[in-house]
Amino acid sequence: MLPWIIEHEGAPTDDVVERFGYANTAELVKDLHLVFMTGLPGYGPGDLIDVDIFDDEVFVDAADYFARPLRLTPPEALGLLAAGLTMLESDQAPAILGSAVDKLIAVVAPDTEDVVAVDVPTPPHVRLLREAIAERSPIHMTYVGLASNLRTQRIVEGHSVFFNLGNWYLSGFCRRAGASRVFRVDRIDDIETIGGTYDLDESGIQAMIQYQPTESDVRTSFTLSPQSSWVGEYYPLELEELDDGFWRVTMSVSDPLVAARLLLQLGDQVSNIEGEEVIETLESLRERILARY
Amino acid sequence: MHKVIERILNLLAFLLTVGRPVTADEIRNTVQGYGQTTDAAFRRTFERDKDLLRSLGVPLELQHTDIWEVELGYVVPSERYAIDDPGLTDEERSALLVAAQAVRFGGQPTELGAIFKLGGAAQPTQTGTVLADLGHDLDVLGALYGAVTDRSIVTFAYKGIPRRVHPYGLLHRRGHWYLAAPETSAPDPVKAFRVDRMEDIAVEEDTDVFDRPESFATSRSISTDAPDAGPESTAQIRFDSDVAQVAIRQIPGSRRLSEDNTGILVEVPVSSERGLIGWVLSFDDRAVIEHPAQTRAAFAAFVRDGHDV
Repeated sequence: MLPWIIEHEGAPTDDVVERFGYANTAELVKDLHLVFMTGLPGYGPGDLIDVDIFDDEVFVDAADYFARPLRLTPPEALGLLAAGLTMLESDQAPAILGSAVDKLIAVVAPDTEDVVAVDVPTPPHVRLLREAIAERSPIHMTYVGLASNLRTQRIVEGHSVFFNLGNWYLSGFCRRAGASRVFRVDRIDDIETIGGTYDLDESGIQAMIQYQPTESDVRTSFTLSPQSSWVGEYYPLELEELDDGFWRVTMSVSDPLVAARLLLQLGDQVSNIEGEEVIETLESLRERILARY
Repeated sequence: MHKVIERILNLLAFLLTVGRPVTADEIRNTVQGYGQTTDAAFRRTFERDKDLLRSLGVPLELQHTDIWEVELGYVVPSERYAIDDPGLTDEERSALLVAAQAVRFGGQPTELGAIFKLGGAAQPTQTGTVLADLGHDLDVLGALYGAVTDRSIVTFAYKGIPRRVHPYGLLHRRGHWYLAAPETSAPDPVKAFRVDRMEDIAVEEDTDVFDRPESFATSRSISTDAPDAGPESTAQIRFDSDVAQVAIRQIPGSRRLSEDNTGILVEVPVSSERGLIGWVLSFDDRAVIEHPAQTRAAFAAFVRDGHDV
């Protein structure tokens, strides 16, 4: 904040409050008082930073050494750059974002163009869903279930469309289930809007996937090799580290097929599987697949 | 906390103006806020303050205080302290703020400190909704990004093998972050290491230790989803008709070849056999690899034995 105030002598307090995310003027004044107590050795008049708020305008003197804005840390630079590039990849970016990202790259990675790239392809369904949500039009769709691979017909009042871990999702109220649900967009066929509208409370929108285990869940546990510990980032797992980098994993799922499929995909990266229902489902899945070969 | 902030600002003001490396003792005796009574108390406080300054992005370095190189002192190199003015307009800063609020990393929103350093931005009147979560810990990605821009060597273990690489760039694709990097022993090929599978990541201290080829572009660098993957080939998979459309949508470049009462035959591009097997398994018994015969056999063996291929 200081470099900006030093550069913009006499900036209105309201502007500073809004620009730097303060709740109110009192919070800003509290921070400025801190600055007022600091400065250079000697710490007498002339050494301390001079802060003045006069007629709702802010003045900072004797602090030229803080006039230049501090460089961004690598996580700050990457976070902002990747956020800007992601937005540009979507069809949601305002035109001005392109020049903003170009200017940012010019200072955070001046000699090395194109060091960060974000590939977030936006399929046509995403645009259709966004339009339907903007117009509050309920959607009729055919959905191929993630757990069951079965097709169902659903009417959904869309809440939001978002990208997470490589997939696009639609969250919304499913009239068939009578509850909020999250659907993977690449598993939606035949979208069409139907007549009517619905109310949407934007403050309560779920825009993340959070699996909440319930008491009726099926549980399984298994040992996971060190090379596959990344699985913990993609599934709701409890991980306990064992010797030599191995993990003992406990997983709760509403449908044992979800766990069985994951275990099959992990191959010899898992061992010592426990949980009768999941083991039975795994063996049955293995047989059904092999019957086709 | 107020005292900490005051002391940090005093320390930074001193280091930015003193123009030479200064010892910890000199800092203790000169900078207001270091009146701790014991050596141990001073050391604890000073260590915490150094960590805090570095976490904010202040390049606090140790240099010899004179040509005899007897003592080391702290210095904040002026040229590395500040960011050049990017010349952003208020509208551009606001657009960056909206983007920062719409994109998350592993569920965590981006810190707004970067926007404040760039001059702050008015909050948008409409609260933006979350557009995307790019996954992964921003601190780990940030460390790799720092290595890319500083041109420092990165070491890590991958599939149990120790690696030492020249990091060229970072790419997010299909939900994963990749580090595009050749191993230090050979400039070719540039490999794609999935960041979530890298273990014991460390960045070496030396900077500017390699040159990135001018023709290199991160966005075009990764066509495969696994390091050491062979050239792209294709496979033919028969899907039950009710999941075929889903499959075609999931793999760009795939196409429908024919349809009969046993399902829909789809050709898909393949960069890694192991990746293909995992994907086909996501369709349970509703997909069958028809061709090539070798991949079909490898799939069946994988399902039967659970062995990695």
